[in-house]
Amino acid sequence: MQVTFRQSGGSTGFVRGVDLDTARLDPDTRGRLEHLVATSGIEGETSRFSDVARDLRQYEIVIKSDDRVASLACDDKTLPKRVRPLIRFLNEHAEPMTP
Amino acid sequence: MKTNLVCSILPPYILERLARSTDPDIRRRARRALAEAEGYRLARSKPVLGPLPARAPKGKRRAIYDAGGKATLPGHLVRSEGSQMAPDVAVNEAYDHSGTTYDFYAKIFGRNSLDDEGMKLVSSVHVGDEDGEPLTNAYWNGAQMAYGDGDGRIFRRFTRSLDVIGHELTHGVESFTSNLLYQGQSGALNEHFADVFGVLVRQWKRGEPASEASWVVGEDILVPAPTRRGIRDMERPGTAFVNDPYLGTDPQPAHVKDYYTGKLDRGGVHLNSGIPNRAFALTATRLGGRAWEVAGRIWYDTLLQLSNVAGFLECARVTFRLAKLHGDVAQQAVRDSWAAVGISV
Repeated sequence: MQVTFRQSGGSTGFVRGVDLDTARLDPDTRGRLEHLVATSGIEGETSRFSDVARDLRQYEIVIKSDDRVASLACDDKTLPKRVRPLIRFLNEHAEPMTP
Repeated sequence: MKTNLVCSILPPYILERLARSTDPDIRRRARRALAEAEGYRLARSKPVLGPLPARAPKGKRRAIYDAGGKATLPGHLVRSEGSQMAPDVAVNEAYDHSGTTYDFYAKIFGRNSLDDEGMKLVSSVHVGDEDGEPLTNAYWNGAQMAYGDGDGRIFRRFTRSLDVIGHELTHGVESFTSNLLYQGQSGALNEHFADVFGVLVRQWKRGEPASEASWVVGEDILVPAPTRRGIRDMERPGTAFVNDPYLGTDPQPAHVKDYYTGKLDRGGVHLNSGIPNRAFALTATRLGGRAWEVAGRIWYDTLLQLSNVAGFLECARVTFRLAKLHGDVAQQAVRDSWAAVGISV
C-alpha cells in the first residue's frame, strides 16, 4: 500500500508532505499505518472544503493498494474526526516539500 | 423593498447560497446575516427578533475571547470594547491590532468595519487544534478571527503580528466586497488583497514611506533563524525563507511564467499570490511616498469592483483603469509593474 500525504495552505501557505510505501516500513510502523488507514474510513474520491473560511490548512491523502485507490481532499473545518489520527501520524513523518 | 435577512426565517443553507449570489447587494446582506447569526450563536444569546438598526453603529466594537487551547470557537469573553487591559498579552495584542486595522480602514478608506456597517470584530486567542495542541495558524472562519499560540519552536503567537491580523481581517472585508472565489487565480487574488492591506496597516501604523518599508509578511510570528525572514515577501516573492529545515524554500512565484498549476492549497492561493503581490509592491515603490495613499487607494477601489471570479488580468485592467484617477504617472507605474510580472494591460 502506498500513502501520499500533502498539507498546504494555512495563513503561512507552507507545504509539507510524505510518500510512504508499507513494503518499505518496519513492521511496527507498517501495522500502525495500516490500522490508521483502515479506521480512517477514506473510500472513493472525496473532496470537500469550507466555502466561507479562509487560511485553513488543506489536506490531501491518496491511498493506493492492489485493489483500490481512495483519496480525500479537505481542510481543517471539513476534516472527518476519524481521519485525524492518520493526519497526525502522517504529519510526524512529513517534511517540507516543493509544491 | 429590502429584506432583513438576519431576522428572516431563512435556514443557513439558503443564506449560504444567497451569500454566493452574483448580486452584490444580496450577497452582502446574506453574508452579514450569516456572520451575525454566527455571532449570536457564539455568544449563546437569544436571536434578536427586532429589525436591524436603521443606522450602522459608529466606531470600533471589539470582542476578544479566550479559546483556552481548544478548537471550539469562540471560548469565553475576556475583553470587550472600552474595557481595561487584560493580564494576557495575546488578548491585548488581538484587541490593539484589530483596533488599528479598524482605524486604518476607517481613516484611509472611510470604511466602517468589515461590512461597512459597523460589524463587531470578534477574535479568539489561544486557539488549539483538534488534538489539543497549540494551533500553528491564524484564520478567518467566515464570522470571526482565530489565532493560535504557535509551537514555540518554529512559530510564535500569531497575535504578535499586526500584518497577520490585518490580513485575517481583510479576508472579512473581502467577504463583504468582491468575495473572490477561494480557488485558483481568484483565490490567489483573495490572498493577495489580504497581504496588501495587512502590510499597509503595518506601514500606516509605523508611518513608513514605501521606499523604506518592509514588504515581508509574518516576520513576527516566526522564531528567528538565519533561514527565514517571514512567511512571504511581497517585493521579492520566493525569498522569504531558504533551505529552512522545517519550512523548506519559499515556493512563491514572482512572475506568471512560474505560475503554479497544481491542486495543492486550493490551486495555489498562497503561492500564486506572489505574482500580484510583487506588482503591488513595485507600484508602491515606483510611486514613492506612502503606499496606502495612492497605490493602496487604487487597490482598495479595485477590490470593490472586481467580480468574484476575477483573475489576474481582470485585476490588472481594473487597477490600470482606476489609476487614471491619480494621473498619468500613477497609471504608467501600474502598467509597468504588472508588465514586470508578465501581465500586459
